[in-house]
Amino acid sequence: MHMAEYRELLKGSLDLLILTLLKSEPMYGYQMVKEIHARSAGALKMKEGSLYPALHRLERAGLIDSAWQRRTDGVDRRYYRLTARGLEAVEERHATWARFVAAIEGVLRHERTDTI
Amino acid sequence: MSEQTPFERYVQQVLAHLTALPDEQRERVVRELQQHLEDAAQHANADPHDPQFQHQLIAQMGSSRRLGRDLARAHRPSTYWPYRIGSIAALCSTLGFFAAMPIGFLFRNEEVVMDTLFAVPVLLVPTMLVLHLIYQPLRPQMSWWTLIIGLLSTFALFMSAIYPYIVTFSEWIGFAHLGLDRALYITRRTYVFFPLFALIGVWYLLIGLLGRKTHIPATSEFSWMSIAAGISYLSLFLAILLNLVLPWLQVVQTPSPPIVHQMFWISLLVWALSHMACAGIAAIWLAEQSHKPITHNDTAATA
Repeated sequence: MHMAEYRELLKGSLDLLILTLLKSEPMYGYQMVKEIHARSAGALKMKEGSLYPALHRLERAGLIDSAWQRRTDGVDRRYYRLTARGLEAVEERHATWARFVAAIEGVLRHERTDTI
Repeated sequence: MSEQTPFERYVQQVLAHLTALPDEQRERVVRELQQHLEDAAQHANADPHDPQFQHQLIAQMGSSRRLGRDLARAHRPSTYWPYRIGSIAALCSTLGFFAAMPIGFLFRNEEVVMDTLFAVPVLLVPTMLVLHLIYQPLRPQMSWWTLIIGLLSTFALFMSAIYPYIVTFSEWIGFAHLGLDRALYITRRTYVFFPLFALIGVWYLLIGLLGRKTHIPATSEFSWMSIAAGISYLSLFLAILLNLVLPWLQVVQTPSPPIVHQMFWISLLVWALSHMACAGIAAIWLAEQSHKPITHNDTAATA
């Protein structure tokens, strides 16, 4: 498991992960941490504190907003959700990410072909 | 008084970096982190009050210093008036200093210009060092352009304070043509220099007040010294202003009444002491930083 390398890569893509998670439904902080862990099959395990500065930054940028809500268990949680601007941003960032991955993959494929 | 739990201490350490935030937002951060603890405990089927569990969670959360600084950065206003005013003051002071060169050129001796240019590379290294010591801890609260202007301001301060000594030294080692007499030309011409004192005073005062407001531990002592330096610069400015203006207005008969002389020397003393104290505190802080043990949380990547 290359956890350290994943963490380095995760640093640059945390905003994209948060926006993507919130595209499906509003979530609270701890829920997002667990969701990232689960969706990546345990590969992406983040320092949990790093989530909150990213959430606050995205909120200040107007891409997400938040509100305290009471769940069925009677506990208040701060739920984050995507704004209209955030929805546009997530689409753009997905497209950028896809181009980036395709470009990297192209280079790697070329390298693999050369070494065969 | 009940003892704080490990998690409460952790949250307090985070909050120490967020003193610039309104109470309402600080409260939101506390509530959110507290909720994170309770969620984690619920998920792990553990007691949220268990100190061992809290230590485990803190390790998962990452360094409180990094979390606090990242949160402070996330909430940093894009434009914050003390930075803006301080930066403008520093920029003016720097420009004011460099304006002394053409003035020297026009009215007295072009060698003053050459001497100034000679001093520039010699002073650049200590200026960079001072900038690193003084402004680095405030970096999360400051934008890059205020740091650059801070560099220029510090550079101007060095130029004004050390320039005559540099040239004296150059005379001693054989560059006699530079001459002490000419080296002191700028510093003798108070009418060129004294507005600079006011602007530097404003800059120091603002940096000091900012340090008090943000309560960054590395700069708390420096903040007081910076405030003292700012006040001393401003009082120097006032003393020189009175010395120049009062005789001109014919309010007093002699060109320098005793009170102005006293004010000048007291200001100069405070100025020198506060600068020495700043340098001492910066040195102590640097020594502490170099001996500080590196913890696991500090070195771990935080996603």
